[in-house]
Amino acid sequence: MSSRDPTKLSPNTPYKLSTTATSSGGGHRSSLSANPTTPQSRFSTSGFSSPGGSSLHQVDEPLIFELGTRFFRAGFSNESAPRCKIGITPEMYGRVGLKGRGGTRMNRRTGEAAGPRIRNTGIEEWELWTNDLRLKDLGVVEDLMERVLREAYNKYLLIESKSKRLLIILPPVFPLAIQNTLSHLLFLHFQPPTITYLSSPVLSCLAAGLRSALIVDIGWQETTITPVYELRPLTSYIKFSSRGSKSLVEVFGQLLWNTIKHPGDDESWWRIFNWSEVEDLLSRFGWCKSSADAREAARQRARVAFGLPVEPAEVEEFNEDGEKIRKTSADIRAQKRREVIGDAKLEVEFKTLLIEEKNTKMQLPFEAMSVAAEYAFFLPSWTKVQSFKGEEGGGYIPVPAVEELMEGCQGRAEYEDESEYTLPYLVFLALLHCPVDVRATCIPRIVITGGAANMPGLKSRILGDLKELVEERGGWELVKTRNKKGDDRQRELVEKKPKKVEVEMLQSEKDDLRIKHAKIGGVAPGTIRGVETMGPWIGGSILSGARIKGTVEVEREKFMSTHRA
Amino acid sequence: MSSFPYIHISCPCNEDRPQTLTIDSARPISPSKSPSKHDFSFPPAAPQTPTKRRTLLAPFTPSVSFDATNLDLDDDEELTDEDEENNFDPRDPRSAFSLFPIENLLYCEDCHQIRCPRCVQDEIVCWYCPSCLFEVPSSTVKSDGNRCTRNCYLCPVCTALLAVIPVNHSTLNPGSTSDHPTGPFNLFCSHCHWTTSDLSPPIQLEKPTSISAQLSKLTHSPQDNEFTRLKQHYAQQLGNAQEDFTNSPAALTRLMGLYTGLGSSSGSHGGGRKGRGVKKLEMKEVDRPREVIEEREMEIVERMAKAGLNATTNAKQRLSQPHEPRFISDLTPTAVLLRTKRSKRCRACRHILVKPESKVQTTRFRIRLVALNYIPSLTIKRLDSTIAWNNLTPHKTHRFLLTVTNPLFDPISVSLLTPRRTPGTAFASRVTILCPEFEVGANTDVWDDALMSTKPAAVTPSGVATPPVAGSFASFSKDPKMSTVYEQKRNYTSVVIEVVPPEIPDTRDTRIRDERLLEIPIYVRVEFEAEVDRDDEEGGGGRPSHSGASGGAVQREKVEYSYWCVVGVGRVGDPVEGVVASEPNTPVRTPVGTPVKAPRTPAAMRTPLRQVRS
Repeated sequence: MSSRDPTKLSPNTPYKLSTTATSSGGGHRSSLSANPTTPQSRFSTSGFSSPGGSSLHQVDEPLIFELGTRFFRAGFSNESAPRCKIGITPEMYGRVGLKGRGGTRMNRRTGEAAGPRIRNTGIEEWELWTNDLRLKDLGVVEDLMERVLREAYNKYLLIESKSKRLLIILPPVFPLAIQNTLSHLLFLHFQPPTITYLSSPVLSCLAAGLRSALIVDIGWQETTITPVYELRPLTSYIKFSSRGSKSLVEVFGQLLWNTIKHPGDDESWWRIFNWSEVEDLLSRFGWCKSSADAREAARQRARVAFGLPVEPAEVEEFNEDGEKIRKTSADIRAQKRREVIGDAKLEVEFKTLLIEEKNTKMQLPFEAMSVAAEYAFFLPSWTKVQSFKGEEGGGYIPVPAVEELMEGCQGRAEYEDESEYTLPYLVFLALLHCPVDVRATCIPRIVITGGAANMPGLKSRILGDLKELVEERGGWELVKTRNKKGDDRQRELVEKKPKKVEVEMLQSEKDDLRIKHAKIGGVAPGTIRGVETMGPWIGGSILSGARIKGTVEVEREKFMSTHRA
Repeated sequence: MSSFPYIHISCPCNEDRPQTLTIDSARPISPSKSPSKHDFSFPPAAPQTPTKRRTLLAPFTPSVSFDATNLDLDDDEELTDEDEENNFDPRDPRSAFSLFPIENLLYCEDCHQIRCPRCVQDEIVCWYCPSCLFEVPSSTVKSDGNRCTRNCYLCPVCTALLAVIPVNHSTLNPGSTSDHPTGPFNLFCSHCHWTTSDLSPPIQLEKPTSISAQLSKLTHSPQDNEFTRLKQHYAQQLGNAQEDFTNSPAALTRLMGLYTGLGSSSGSHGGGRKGRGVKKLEMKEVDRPREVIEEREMEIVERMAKAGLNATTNAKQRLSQPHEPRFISDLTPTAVLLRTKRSKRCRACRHILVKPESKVQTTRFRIRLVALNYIPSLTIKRLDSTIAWNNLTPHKTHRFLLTVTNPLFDPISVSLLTPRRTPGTAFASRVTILCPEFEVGANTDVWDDALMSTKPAAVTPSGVATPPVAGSFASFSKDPKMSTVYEQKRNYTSVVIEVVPPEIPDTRDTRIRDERLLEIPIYVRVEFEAEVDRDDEEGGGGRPSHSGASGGAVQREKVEYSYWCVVGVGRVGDPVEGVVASEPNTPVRTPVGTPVKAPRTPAAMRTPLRQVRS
């Protein structure tokens, strides 16, 4: 134990280069795609690769680790994708050499063994760490992290851990205890010379090519909304919401279970379904309705609530002056798409070992796959989760009560936590609370990232709802104008709003506008605009590729000398 | 389900982990004690201390009614329970990370300690492709993306190895197959019949060799282009903004551009000249960032609706690709990941534990100190074949045979300690090892064994085959006969272990961990005298013992080590009619339905305690 001094380390075993020159001439894979302006780094890499010195010459280029709750990503700088992405599975919590942990659940009818045991909601063993450390044994987190890191080093990175600096990307708010554990674990077991910690919103911003942005990170445990101004995260303006990918999967699982369960069965869905299967289906096929479609659906629900007949989809539309609008080609395309989506069905099959049928087959309309996102991000959190049974009237989402509609859901006593707010409203609040300069810069630079952002339609939905919200408020106002009472309010909810005519612009006009408003992102002031990002890992790759060193580096010697006790 | 019984060994590294964690330091840390039993006379060996039990995640409290049967314990047992703090708890979530089958463990000869994968430091000896066994030089490993750059590709759908076949291979005359195949080639998976022609656009190769070079020309993902664009942008910005950034290659190119291409149309140095006078130029954001466009997202949705579920990638397929494509038609063949041969060093003393031959094709090792050759291996068998591993009867005394096999060339003395009641659960089983301290003979030649079997207990070396004197354990067991070993052969010794599982309610539906799993932690302590042949190591190891052999030519030192191991005995079944709680060692009726074979009277149990079969 005492002789952990690296100076006592005997030199590396001399490594003999085999006399094969064939592979060195082979083209680099396209994913490496070296920056054409930095050929020097590549030359130095190959020039110094004499036997024996292999661990020294690569010290400059750090490894980049991103620690998500569900996934661990690691790779080298200056590459366009991480070399490895390791998802956490319950098997990782198990013993080496022990397959499974014995069948401990049982089929409720036959009593046969049915899959491994699960703790609490079963999701804990899919997570690397959680923000809630009250019941979490940090030792387990440490052990698991060590296991994941060892797999990354030994299986994917194939590099000696001692030689590489580390750059670790962490969420903006990360439990200090875990960070401490992580540093200690790394320095003890893997011995990198230094570690630099970077905040993920800044890197997301960087990977979008921006310097200021509002980063909406829809993560697994929570959604974090961080304003970044001139590459500095404004930590005091961060907003959190527990609506995240996890709640998305939870809602979807609940919907599935509600579909097949017998009434009165109070089993939890995660004991019937497997988290991974539910999540996999959602990640493959989950989508999100567009803002206009969702508004239309909400209007139809309001009509049902007030006892009005469901309106058929209108063939003709009128503008503010009551004139008929000629349908544009985009409208026709959208209509066609709606039909395609409406007709599509999908067959899914789940392993449901606990109930009588070991496999449950379901035929779901394609539209059903968009419902989970509605519940998770866009409906009030008290909305009762329905099922996919497909009662008439589009019963995936419950029809709200008339009183709630009339008072606009604002009278609820529960409306006091930010997690209660729908995601677009929280984005609205986050922007509203920012200083006005920051807000002006961030409004045209909303970056939505995180695991759930891959769901098609979600990004534009959040932005679309936000646009509508601002329109409805008449600007960035916290106070809602609510002078409509009774019939007026009902009419507002039930009737279709006249469609606005959008100004069609030529590309040259757009370019002119862009030059004119270059300072605020090339759009007219106050325009809500979303920007795509390549994700924080890529940001870290770019940053370290540009040889920008972190101002604070945790050095191994210093850390270990203070933390040994 | 037939995995019972199993034996896992806990690496001692989990015992001396630093307690720097904030949560843990808030908890009272009990002084480290070793699992001393009152019954044993020797002082407990304490090079390591067993783990402290973590009580935070064990919130299950039993109902009193279930435990009521166990309340009539004798005082002796109550006393031992106070040591429970120090017992190794196999149910602790952390212990899953320190328990290994013995095959996975190494042994450090200098530290006399077991070393698990966590307490070794890996050093890479060579890189090679597991598919073509081609050794990759270290200089190109990283630039090749840790993947084989020859012709080894895996199917992105099912991860089987892809074969190169001509596109129109089902040609008319079969004789042409012997010829040199011509025409475009594609990669074909013989398992799931995926080909690169399925891609959109289809990939077809001109040559059947150097696939990597051809593929890299054909596959371009938009993410790569975007990445290059961003990187160029930032490189440009850095070149403009930071005048004093002399080390940066970007600055260097800017400088070079300054001298060589003054009149060129390279966009970067125009800004560079402008910014020379200014100390720091404001960095600009990228021109035309990619915007979120609803139309584009809805097109993906439409494509999903049209293509159906089977056209999308599942999580595993997605993660193995660099840019996580959504549709199967976007998958590209993945090159085989390289593997390494690694030598392993003990983290504590830096001695090499494993050193493979550096040639890829050989599987030999220069040094390989596996624990199997150093620590006694335990096996457990049923004494009574009617015991079902998966369905142990509550309140019944199950007798198992625990065999300790010695791999060393020196006889060892072993002491096994186990908590009387299995720790970590509210439903503890009673465990008794009938003979906890015994000797195991040396791993001598097999031929000796053959000779020995004819002449019992005569030619064996000193210390072997002399079972411990029964009288010395009189304090441990009321019956002196019970403390003798069951069977002793050349290099193994078997002792009887008795387990009485309690009645355990079926907690499978109450979402709590598996209470019925019966795992017995056993603390194994091994002592032997080894010949010291290392002259250079003066200070290392133990003290030279009194039994220095004749003439002092061979110095012997006393070596001792200890570790916890966990014996997975089985699962406790449902209570059986007629078997009720009783005295630990009284026989119980055989369960209804099982064939009445091998009468299990107490006399029958005690008589076969033979030492050496004659």
